[in-house]
Amino acid sequence: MPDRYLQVSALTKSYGSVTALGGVSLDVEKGEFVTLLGPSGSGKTTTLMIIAGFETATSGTVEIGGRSLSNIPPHARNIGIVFQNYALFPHRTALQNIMFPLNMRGVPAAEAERKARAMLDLVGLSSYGDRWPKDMSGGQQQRIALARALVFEPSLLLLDEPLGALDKSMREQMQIEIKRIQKSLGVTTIFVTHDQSEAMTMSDRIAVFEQGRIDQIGTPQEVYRRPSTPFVARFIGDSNLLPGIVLDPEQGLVRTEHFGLMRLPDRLKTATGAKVTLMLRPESIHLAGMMDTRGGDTERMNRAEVNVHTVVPYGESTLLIGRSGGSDLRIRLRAQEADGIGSGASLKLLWPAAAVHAIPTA
Amino acid sequence: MISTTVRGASKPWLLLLPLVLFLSAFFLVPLVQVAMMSVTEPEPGFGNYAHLAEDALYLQVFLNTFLTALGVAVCCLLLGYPLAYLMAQSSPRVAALLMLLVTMSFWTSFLVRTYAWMVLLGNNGPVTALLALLGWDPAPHLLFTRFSSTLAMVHILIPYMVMSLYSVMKRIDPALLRAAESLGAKPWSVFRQVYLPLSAPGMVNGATLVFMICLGFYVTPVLLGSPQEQMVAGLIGTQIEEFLDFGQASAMAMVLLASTLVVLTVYHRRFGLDRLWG
Repeated sequence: MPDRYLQVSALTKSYGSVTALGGVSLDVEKGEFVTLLGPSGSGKTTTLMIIAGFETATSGTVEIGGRSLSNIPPHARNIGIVFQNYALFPHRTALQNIMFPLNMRGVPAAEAERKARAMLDLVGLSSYGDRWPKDMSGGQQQRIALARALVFEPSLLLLDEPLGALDKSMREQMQIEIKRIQKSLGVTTIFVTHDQSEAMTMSDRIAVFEQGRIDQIGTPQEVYRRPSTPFVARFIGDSNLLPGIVLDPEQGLVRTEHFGLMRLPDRLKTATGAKVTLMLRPESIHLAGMMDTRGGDTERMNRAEVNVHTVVPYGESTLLIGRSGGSDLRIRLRAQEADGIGSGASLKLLWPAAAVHAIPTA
Repeated sequence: MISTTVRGASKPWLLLLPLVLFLSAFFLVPLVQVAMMSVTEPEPGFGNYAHLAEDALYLQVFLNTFLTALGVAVCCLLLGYPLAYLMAQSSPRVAALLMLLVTMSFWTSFLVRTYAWMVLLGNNGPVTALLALLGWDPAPHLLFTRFSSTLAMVHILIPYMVMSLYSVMKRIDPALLRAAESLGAKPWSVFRQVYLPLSAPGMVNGATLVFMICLGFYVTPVLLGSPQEQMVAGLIGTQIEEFLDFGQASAMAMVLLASTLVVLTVYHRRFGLDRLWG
């Protein structure tokens, strides 16, 4: 067990008869970057606000370094927060904003300014100290807010959808920037977002929220490749979810309604006849003619034939939606591979058993 | 069809015409007349203005007016701030109810409210009786003092202050207060360092409005105030009613108007007039 720095245990939160959180537990290591990912209303922001102290949990505890936060007011928790709309003080300059937490801690003015200027350097806005928030772009305000939340060396950094208001290119730039700063300071970070690509690129681990619970916690690769629920598979990345019935758990064989017998990489823990959902990422499907199968294990290949009815070009790749029997199959090919494939084309497809992941269906 | 729309849209100022005509006939023309009178009655020249500048009495009255207006503005601010703060923090329902209570005094006739104060503060009124009962001996004279006129004017003008403050406070982003708290500010520091500075525009707006309205206040100071400490509007009335000195009265009215315009100009330079009404 890794040393648990932040320990969130069995948090629940109800508003009258409405349950916002139904038992959320999460352990975070020191220096780790953990993302709470989920759609709006899934409880991720409520969890964040309970950690920050702005909401009180109905039950459950939050501890940092073994110390319970239960009776500590927000101003004494020593947690840095970057809010969705940055929440910079409009009546203070960028530098004065960054100095605020130091002023509140009684740090002498000269030292406070020195530290604040060092943070300005770190976020790459050295010459912006005298600017007013309203005279800065969204991305710049974002960096100032980050500097302000970090200057007092908080024991925890909370980021509440901080990139939501930025345009796409600025968002990607800030993802890299936040990650760089977080690494350089080694601060333990909880990041809340509903954007799965943000979660994938930035996190050490991702906790996927659904309806007030965590469905799965794992590294980006784990939640992407081996989602534990159909919800996680659908929420993260594009996927084909095919219902099936286990035919032979030892051999890893599942019968699907529209794509026949499907081979899986491993043997299954479920019994014969159990219902499972098979997940197949669109990018792991190949054209039968294009994939070199000679070196591979042809025994462990799955095959299908579909009639393409939709072609969506994305530039670097092309999404094809084909139909077989009564079911759609989403296929993502490199753009060159998809050249010449139009609506109505018949495609022979194949994908390795390793690309298929079985999710037990409750 | 199209030409009608274009013709209608190209002359939107036509919509202003009724108001402009009304104001011209009943405000602008009389105002010009007053200005003319101030330099023609009883004889042409600036004698009336020279008189104003020379006579210490007039200076005293103007000073008195400014100090009273300032006092009223400060009292309105001190009393109105907590109320506006409470309204801004309350749920919309409670805020609406409080706003109703505040504006209720707007709906009662001005004169009735002033007379009500006369009854309350009179020598045989309940307030004096209460003070006497508490052992204040001899019981103080409350009516016809600067205290009573200030009190009544605060009562009448406080809705302006509360509405100015409320409209600004309502727009303060609660996230800023949370941010301050998360950064280590205790509740008092959150208020002192963030809320108070951000509500300052409302304080300035409210104080300016109250001050300007107060400068020209007539009925309340005349009925409740001390005859020895008259305000400008009251003195103008006396000049006309008792001395029929239209020239002198007009000159004072013009100076009063100029004072108000100076306050407005200073405000406009500093904050922009468009923000005065929130």
